[in-house]
Amino acid sequence: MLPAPTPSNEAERLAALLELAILDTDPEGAFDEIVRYAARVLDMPIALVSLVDEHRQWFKSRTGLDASETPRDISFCGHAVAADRPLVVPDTLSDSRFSDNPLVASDPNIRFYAGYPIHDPAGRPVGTLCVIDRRPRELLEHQLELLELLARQVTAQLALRKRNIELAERTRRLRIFEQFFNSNLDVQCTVDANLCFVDLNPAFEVVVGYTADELRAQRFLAFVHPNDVQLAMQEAMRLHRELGTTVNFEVRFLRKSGGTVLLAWSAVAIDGLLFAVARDVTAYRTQSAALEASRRSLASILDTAPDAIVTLDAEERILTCNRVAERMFGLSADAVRGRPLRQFLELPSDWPEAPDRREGDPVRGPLRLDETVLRREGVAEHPVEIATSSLRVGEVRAFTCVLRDISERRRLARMQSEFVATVSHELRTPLTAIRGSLGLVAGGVMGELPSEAAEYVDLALTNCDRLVRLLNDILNLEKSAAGQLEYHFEVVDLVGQVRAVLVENAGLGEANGISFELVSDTRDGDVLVDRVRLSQVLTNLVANAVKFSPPGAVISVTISRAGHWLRTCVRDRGPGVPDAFHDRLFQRFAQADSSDSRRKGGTGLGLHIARTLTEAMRGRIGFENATDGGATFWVDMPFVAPIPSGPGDRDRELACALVCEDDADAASVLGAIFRSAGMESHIAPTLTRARELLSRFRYRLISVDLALADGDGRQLIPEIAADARHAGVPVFVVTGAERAPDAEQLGVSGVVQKPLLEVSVGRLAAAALTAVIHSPPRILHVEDDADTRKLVARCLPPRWSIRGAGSLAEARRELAAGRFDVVVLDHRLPDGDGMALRDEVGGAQIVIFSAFDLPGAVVGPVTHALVKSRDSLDALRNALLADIQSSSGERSNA
Amino acid sequence: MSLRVLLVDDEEHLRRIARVSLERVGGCAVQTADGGESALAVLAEHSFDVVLLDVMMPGMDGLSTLARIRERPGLASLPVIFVTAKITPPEVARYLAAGAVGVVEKPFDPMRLSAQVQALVAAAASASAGVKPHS
Repeated sequence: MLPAPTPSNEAERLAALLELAILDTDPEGAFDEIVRYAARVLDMPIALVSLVDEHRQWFKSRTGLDASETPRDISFCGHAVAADRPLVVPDTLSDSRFSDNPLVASDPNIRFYAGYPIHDPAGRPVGTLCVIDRRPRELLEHQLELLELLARQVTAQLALRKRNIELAERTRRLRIFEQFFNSNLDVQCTVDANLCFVDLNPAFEVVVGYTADELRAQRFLAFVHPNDVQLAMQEAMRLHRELGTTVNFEVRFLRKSGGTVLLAWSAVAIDGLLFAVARDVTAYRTQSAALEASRRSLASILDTAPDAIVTLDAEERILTCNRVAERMFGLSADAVRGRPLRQFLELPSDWPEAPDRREGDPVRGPLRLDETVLRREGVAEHPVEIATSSLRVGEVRAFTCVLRDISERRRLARMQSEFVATVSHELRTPLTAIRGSLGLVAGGVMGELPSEAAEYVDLALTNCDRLVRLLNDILNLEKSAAGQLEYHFEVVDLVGQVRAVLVENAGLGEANGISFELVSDTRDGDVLVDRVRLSQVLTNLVANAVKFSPPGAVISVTISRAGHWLRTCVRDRGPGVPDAFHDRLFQRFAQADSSDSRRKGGTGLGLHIARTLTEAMRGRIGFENATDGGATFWVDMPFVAPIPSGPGDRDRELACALVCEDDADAASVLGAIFRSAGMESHIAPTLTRARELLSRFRYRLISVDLALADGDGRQLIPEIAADARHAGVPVFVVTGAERAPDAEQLGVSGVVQKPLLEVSVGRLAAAALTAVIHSPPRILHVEDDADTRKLVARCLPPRWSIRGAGSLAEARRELAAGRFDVVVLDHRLPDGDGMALRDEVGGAQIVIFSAFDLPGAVVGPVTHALVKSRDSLDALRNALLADIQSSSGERSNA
Repeated sequence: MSLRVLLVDDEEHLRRIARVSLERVGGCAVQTADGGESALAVLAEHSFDVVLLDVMMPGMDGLSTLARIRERPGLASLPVIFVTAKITPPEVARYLAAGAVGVVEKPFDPMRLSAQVQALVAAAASASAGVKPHS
């Protein structure tokens, strides 16, 4: 058997077959009729329209045969297709190509075959129209001609069928485009050469109010705003001139209900027809105009601001700057954009740390204010004040800086302070002469005066003294207002200071027949203050009390502790402060009664100055009227725990931390953290106090605030490192600076950020726990419930060695094998009461942790008795910490 | 023992009052000078127990005068007291650092002036005796 050869254009032929989209489709009448006709007129039992696929021949139409397809390699049609010529086999048995073909040898037992090729519209052979008989046959010339004609009919039918498919597809797509056209929200239309609407989509009705029917055949320009007609004309002409070019333009279109909409057109001319799409941009144009106006107004506000305003990105590079900033930098905004601000200004290293604001937050609290120097080539340096605020927009950080040239302000301040100094000298010189002359006369140096004359000279002298005081107060006030007063903070013994003030004022008291009494309920009361200023405040309160108390009165001064404060109260015996005067008492030139100032010789500035000084020292001042008459003025100063008395033991280590911190609140938070780890703490608000404590005690942990009252805490770090007794002691830096310095750079164990939140101090607390105990303590937990043992073990620091025992017998084995610091006992064990072990624990402390309270006193070495349901695991941990500390204390004592 | 005082002030009225006060109340022997230059001239001729110096004076001010006095051989430890209205803590600190033994505030009380001066001179004498017992 010879299989049908593969034609040379097989790939192309198969593609053609696929394009016909006919394989495995349902029978179709047109093909069936041709097949039936061929079988009938040629008297053949079998006729087929066969399509030769890659591996098979498939019958689009068949008569006299059941199979719908047969393999290609045994097909007769394959031969006709390969040759693209008719194939006639009169007797298959006498044809060597087909004699042993299975289709010959068995069903359908082909003996005669005649096939004519059929083609796709491009003329490529795709199959045959063939007739078959089960006996040898001969076909006459006209019969073969008939078969050929029918085959051409099949070819024509294939072409028609393909056209139909293509048409159906095109119709479907047209329908989709129609959908787009109808559902488009933008208006869409075609316009003919006369600029009349042809087709319009329904969007017109929505956008301009006219339906498509109302506009069809109407002139486009009739609906354009008169002022825009010319523009529309021009664009239309351009469209016709530049065929195929898309032209964009905006014109106002008349609405049916009146008014116009602004339409942005996009149009192209094809074949004399304009295809145009337009969008209503009225709202967009209005908005962008408003936006532009607002942008311009903002820019003009910025540009007319008297200060330079600069915005910076997170890397401190300039994003925008206004006109004043351009002038200040001597460069255009474009030239400065992207440059770091530090290029123009000398800025402190911690700049621009500033309180963060979220976008839209109101400005809260003070912005960061720095005074600095503007550097610019060719121009003398001049002083600049820079207010920095930090802003977070989403996750992005930015800074806004307002820069003000303060040369003029500086000059005025200098003039003012020169003026004050001059006035001070100029006034004091004549006053000194007057005071001196009067003093000599009143003192009798010039001889005895008549008594009336003496009285008036005294009067002059008193008023001269008052004038001097007034002058002093005004100068003081001027200086504190100008921020010229310097404060030298130190830790001062308050009781001693108060006593000194009372001694200084004893003369004043005596002159008015008044005595002082000092009552203190604290033995050691140190405060963090400026010694001179505190004296000034106290003197003021005492002098005030003297002034308002009647002769013979006793003014009592008491000192008491109130939380973080030490309070000094000065109780006078005067009339009290009138209600109407309460609010004004601490204001400038406040006097309850203007006649007072003459009678009492006050300036009305004393309490104001006292408050200014007190607040500058982070203290508080106030007063209250006593119910039995008289007023009590009080002043609170930050309390500093005194240095523990008794000889410090330089070499014995304390279970104690040193907290170098000048902020009382932060110090107490740190103290609480250390206490929770079983460690007391000493607090040092100043470098001086810290050094003193470090020289007297040996600490296990040290925290250092960088900003101490009398200097930079950084100074302490190398001193601690160089101190042999504190070698290896963990030092933590606590800082409020947003950009915390690096722990490694500082040479410390860690850096903790303020505010002191749970998370930030976690490491500190962990370090504290480890610092408390040098060698891990050994704990034996005698408890028959394994879960309880597990729970307890979990709440203790991981370094601790914890052994468990479920019975007395197990416990005795453990005790025989090693020594323990603490033994935790349960009462009820499987083989007896845990307390039976109390004399067998060696030197260990015993803590009872049991389900019930043992009645009666706790005996023997038991230090704590805790009840499981009542006391928390925290309580147990604290009890253990306390015991371990005391036992380690004993160990180091021994 | 009557204290020999050199009083230096550019204000004639103040010199008069202080002189009367020191002489009549304190029994001091007083000479005056109206500025730093003339004070140095007087010091070259006479010896004193103490110098009272004004701070703000035209020409050579008090601090410069003190510095010049200290340069003179034999005057290195002559007690000098500033009599001035400028007495803020930093100013006082500067006077003491420059070598003054004390400060009297202006306006002064003429009845107490000589007592203040005597007290400061006595304190300085005992301090220097304490520091340098062999000098």
